Amino acid sequence: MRACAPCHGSDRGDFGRAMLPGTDALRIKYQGKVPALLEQRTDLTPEVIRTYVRRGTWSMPPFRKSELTDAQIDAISAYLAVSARTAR
Amino acid sequence: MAAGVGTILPPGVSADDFAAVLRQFEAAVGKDWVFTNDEDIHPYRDYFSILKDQNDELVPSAAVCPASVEEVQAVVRAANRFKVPLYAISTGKNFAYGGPAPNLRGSVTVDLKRMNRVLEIDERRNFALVEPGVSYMDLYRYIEERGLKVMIDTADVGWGGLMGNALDRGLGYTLGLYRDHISAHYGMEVVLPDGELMRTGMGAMPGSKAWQEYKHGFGPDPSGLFAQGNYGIVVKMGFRLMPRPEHWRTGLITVPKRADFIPLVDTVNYLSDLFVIGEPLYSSPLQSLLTDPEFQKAAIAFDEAALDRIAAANNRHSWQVELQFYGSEKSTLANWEWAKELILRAVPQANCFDGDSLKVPVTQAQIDAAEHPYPAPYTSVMRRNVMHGVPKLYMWRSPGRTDNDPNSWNETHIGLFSVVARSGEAVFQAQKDFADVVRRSRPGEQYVSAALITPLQWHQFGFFIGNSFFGTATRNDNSPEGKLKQLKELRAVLKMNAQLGYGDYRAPPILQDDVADQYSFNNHQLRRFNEALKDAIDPNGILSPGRGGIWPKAHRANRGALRK
Repeated sequence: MRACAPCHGSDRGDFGRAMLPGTDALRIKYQGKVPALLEQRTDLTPEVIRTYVRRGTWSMPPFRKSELTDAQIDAISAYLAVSARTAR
Repeated sequence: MAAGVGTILPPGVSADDFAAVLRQFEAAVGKDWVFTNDEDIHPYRDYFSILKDQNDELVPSAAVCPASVEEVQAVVRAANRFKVPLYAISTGKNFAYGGPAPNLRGSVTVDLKRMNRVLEIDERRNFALVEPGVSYMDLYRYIEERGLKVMIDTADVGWGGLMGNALDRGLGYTLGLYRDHISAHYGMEVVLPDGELMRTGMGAMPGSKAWQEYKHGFGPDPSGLFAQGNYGIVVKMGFRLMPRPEHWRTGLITVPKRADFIPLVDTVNYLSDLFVIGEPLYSSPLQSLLTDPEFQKAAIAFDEAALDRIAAANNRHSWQVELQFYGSEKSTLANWEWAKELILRAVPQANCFDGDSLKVPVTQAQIDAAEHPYPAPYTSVMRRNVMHGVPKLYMWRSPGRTDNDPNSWNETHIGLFSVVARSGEAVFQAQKDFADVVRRSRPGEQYVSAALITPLQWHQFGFFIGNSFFGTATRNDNSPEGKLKQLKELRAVLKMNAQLGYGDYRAPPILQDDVADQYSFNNHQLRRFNEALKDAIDPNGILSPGRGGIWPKAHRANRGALRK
């Protein structure tokens, strides 16, 4: 969570923006088709999460194993699976 | 995939020697922490590289992640045996300045992120001693979890590290010393190119209890060499921390006429150099008039009389500056009253508006919302989180999607900022000079807002004005050809800036030779001095060849070799 939430969490952005950059980018991308908040997404498999974290996407740069181990990414996937169920 | 990723060799190193040095790296740090395949190397590339996926993209041949000083020493000694160039990174988040990518393709990246301990922190003597992998967010959490009464001065994007940011001369937003991050450093421990360990300042004295008190020690202090340099791998670094003040107060000053900018700057310089105010934030309330064709014409012509007339007709002043005060409730009020008195003495028509007056520590809700928003048309441009030392990632929206442009992003992300003298006259001249540079670079185009630009960073040691309008200010042509055109334009801009007397303070590896070229006094004596030192200290040229424009003898032929 320490790695993801500063960009993809539910806090407010700065300069009066309602969302953090990652959450806001997904809001713009999906226009309400899926939740902007990762914690509410039910369509993210561990494989998808690992690919995005390791390869990066658009303005999100990739993360190295020294920053997040494979086990830590798996823990993030497990957390998101639970948080998505809770959000339903 | 960039051609060769995961398969390239370090320059001048045979396949057998590369295999041998990798075995020695594995012996030093463990097999799990030496990376050579594409998947693992990918995050060590500059994600925003202009040369992305090209044959000359600056990608490493391998990455090695030591977890201790001893492991760093072992890696450096092994590299020396095989003359393998290394490139050290701390948190690897130096985006806009090359990210984690090396200056020399095929270098082995030494990733220090696993060394992430806060070694010491003292809220009475106000310092921290940290390892390279400690990010601003890490230290902030450490302080908050323990309720310590110190605050940090964070960079805009808080995932970066204290050490890496300071060693690339990054900047923050609080009071004088603290916001010039390399000036706030107090003592280093460095692994030298031969693997020996050195401490600077009082750390060089066995038994001293004052390593983080007096950074100079005795005799020449070499610590400056390790910022934007390649003379060693810094493995510990002390930082002076600002004691948490009791109160934070802000205020806005506006001045009516264009020429009033000059006394405004003089007044703010006075307050700043007396350490009365934190980072001041200048801007122009006229920005929103740029859509008016008449105003646009006046701005492009730098027509002072017309600009003043249109500003008055729109009932707004030409310039504003937001001031912030750290101290007690009474002292911040007295200082704000003094600031008002000084500006009204210099510009009697100035307006002064009270902003926030908050007991510290502030709450996140207080950071998010101003206590007294300024009356229209004046608005705050203050980055309120960083003013309170709260690391965030909000600035990361800049390269990404926007509501107006949802299907593009800046695939290249480059920061370039010129140092400008600290006076209103110098800023006016820079506005005109940078507008001319745009006209010369892109015939037919205008830098419409040039007459309103103010320095992004307004420091006691210099002003910084962004000239990366070809890099990040607009959405760019993201094709490989478009990126190369952008690179050529940036190089031409750096050259023109130098001819006009503007030097840049920081650059990504791909442009570091160009920026080093700007500092050419007496036939590049500074670079010749730096390279004489480099050859003496690092005879095999293994540490970060090319960083800061300093090329060791073994790799000097690479100077300027990249897509000139």
